[in-house]
Amino acid sequence: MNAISETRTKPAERSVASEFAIEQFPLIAIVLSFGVAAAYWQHGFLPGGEVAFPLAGVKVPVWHLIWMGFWTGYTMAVVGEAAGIFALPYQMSILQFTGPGVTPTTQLITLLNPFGALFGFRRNRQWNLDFALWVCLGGAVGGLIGPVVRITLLSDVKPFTFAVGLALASAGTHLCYAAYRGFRDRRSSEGLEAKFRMEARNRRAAGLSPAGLPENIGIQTLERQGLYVVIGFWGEQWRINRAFLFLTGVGVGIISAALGVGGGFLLVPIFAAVYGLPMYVLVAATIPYVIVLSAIGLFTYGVILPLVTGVTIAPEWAWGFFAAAGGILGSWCAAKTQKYVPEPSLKLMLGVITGIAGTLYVIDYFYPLPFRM
Amino acid sequence: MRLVYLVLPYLPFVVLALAALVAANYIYVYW
Repeated sequence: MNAISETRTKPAERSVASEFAIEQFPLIAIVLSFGVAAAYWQHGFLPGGEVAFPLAGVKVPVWHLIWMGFWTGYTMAVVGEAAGIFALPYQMSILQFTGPGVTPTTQLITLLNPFGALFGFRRNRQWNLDFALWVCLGGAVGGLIGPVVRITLLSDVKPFTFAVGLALASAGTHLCYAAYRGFRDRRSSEGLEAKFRMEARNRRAAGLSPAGLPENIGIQTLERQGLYVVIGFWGEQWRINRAFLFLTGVGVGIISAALGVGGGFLLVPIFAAVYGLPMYVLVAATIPYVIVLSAIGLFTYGVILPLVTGVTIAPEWAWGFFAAAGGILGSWCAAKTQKYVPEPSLKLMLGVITGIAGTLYVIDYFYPLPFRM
Repeated sequence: MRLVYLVLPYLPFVVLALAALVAANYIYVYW
């Protein structure tokens, strides 16, 4: 077997500081200045803790929006999802942004948030186009079909969200159990987790930062055989069917676009629970996927829907840009610090998030929740 | 630096705890 693609496209090694200065800081500064400019353009002044955001009708300090973006971006990028599943309930329940503008505002946030993680993981070489391409193509197709399905076939989405909720709750339980097994077997000497612990221990003993992943490894394409592609990471291999990747992308795209939810939190449990891919690998497909799906969602709800219905819902632009600026920083920090977090912790976090989301969907079927997800 | 190294493996949980703290403070001040 020979490594085909990823060794050729290996990005130049740079220090974290220069990576931040060259790639992240300009991006964050641009998005922040977009926030200030959008505030003056849309409202003629800069809202914040003293003056309410006019569309949202909410007084919230700008730093709090940046912080909200940061922690939602961080939490989700560390397990490879978008930030919508945290950002939407947080905005509606804690910050009390309950107007219709909250949906496009959140879409703006979830579109921009993952870019920090995208660049960050690419520099780590947790990146593989053979793996990401077919899922993303599927997502693009599914994202476009979804709204049509919603209008034509699904007059009532409630039973459907109930079914998705049950699936998510069981995937969450499965992941929590996998996390428990990981914690229980922490003395075992087999598999990726053992290698991770050993690497972290050796680096700590040498006085280095306790990263569990060596710096020179990446996600490699080991072989392409017809429909199958063999992905390698740190001595482990996964033989993945590209048709499965494409169809999973289509399916998750349709479901998430039809229900109006983000796709990452459906896709990540599928890759983690069904395929058994480690968190350090699946981000290579799921981060590009959520960007594709968010872009298509924003396009559908911002351009196509107003053309069809004649109703345009304006986002609170400044709000979205401020949160996105924090989100880009947060998701980049997630990409840079994921290698310090042991897999059972990541699985526990993903399992709890997935389980809670699923349970809330199920509860919402019987007792409507005071916020949307 | 040692302290930072100790915190790093638990960072996601630290961030979540901070988020809960800020949310509680916002509810206390603005609601």
